[in-house]
Amino acid sequence: MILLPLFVLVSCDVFYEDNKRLLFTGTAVDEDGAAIKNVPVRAFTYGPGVLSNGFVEDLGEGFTDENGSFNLVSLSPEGNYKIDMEINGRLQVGQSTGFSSISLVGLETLNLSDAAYRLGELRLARIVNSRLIIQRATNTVDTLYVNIVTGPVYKTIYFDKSREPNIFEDFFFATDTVLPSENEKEIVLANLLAKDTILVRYRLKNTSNAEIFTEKLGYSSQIGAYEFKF
Amino acid sequence: MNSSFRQGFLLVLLTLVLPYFGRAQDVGETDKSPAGGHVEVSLGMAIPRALGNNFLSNAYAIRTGFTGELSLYFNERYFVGYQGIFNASEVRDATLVGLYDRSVIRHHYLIGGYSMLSKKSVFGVTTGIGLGHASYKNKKENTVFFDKGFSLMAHTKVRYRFSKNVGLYVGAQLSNDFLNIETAPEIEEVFKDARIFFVSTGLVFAIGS
Repeated sequence: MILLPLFVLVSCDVFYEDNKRLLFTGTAVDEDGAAIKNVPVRAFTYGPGVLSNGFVEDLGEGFTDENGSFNLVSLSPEGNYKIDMEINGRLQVGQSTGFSSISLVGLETLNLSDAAYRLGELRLARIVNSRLIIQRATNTVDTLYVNIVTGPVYKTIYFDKSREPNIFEDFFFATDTVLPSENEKEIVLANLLAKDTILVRYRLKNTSNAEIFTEKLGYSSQIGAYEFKF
Repeated sequence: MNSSFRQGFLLVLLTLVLPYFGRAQDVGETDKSPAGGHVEVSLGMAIPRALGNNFLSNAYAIRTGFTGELSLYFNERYFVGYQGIFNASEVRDATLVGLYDRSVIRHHYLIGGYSMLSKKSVFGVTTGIGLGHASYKNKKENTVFFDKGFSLMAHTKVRYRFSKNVGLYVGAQLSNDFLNIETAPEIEEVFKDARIFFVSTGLVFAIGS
């Protein structure tokens, strides 16, 4: 008997509006702006439940077309429900493993115009391996201790800022050392988003100051790699 | 032509041929009942075919259903009454309509029409129109929601009486449901209305004739 109210909470359903359908439109492109076709798209909400987000209920699903565009028809939840979307989600059937995933959180906070959420261009970068080339420019005596941080291959865009976590989502990191006898070093970076910005945290030994420096590096199309000089 | 439609036409053929072997003796020229009002009740099956470029024809698979009609003849020719049609359907392409599983489609009409032949005749041909309501009861697991709207229909029926009070009929009907489902302009045309062509057949009972 004590558990009965719990089961009632867990088994509550999402209710839908009569005579209404929502439309989610957008275009999936890669880091160069080229269309990404045939990746899965899904809109979903959360039913009431014991947990803070309840259970996940799918509203609509589909795939991008030849032009990378999607027109996702979905049911319209009645009342105040969170609405999220996932493009090329990691657990979705038909996920393209060569591209990143995007989650869009809190679409219900957007202005709903004509029963449609028009999301425009959504960038899903390719997942690639790349290189970081470290070169001595002016410093010839210090040992460089370097820590490289790349971003996650799944991106989340928070339209509802109250649901945005206060942590930096880093995904991959590597550490390495460049000795005084080494003028140049190359580090392989695996599984990062093409042309994504990376973070380099480094320390120079043999200086009196043990300060840790941080630098953001952009991708160099000229050399086809990332470049760090010290 | 899909298999359910083919079966429907075979059934129509059978209903026209079989009664010749089971015709009672007191029908037709020997029928001496007086002219005037009477009541007819029709019960049968309704074989649907969705028409046009809309959500119903593109995304639903409608199954053969049931139809019932009550016609009140206030003279030999003119009648008013009620018609109900009930069909179950499945959503076969949820990417076009949203993620739900099935729908029960119900039509209710107030009908009015005209019988071209006298009720004394063994054969009867009626035409009629109906104004009414269409209700699509959509089901997603344990949740139910509706698409509803105004509906118009036009039909014609051929009836053969093999006894004084019982006959067989076959009919054709076109129903147009004005649902006006609220949605984005890009897909408004697809959800504005739905059109169904029914072939129906069954028994008709005449009361008071």
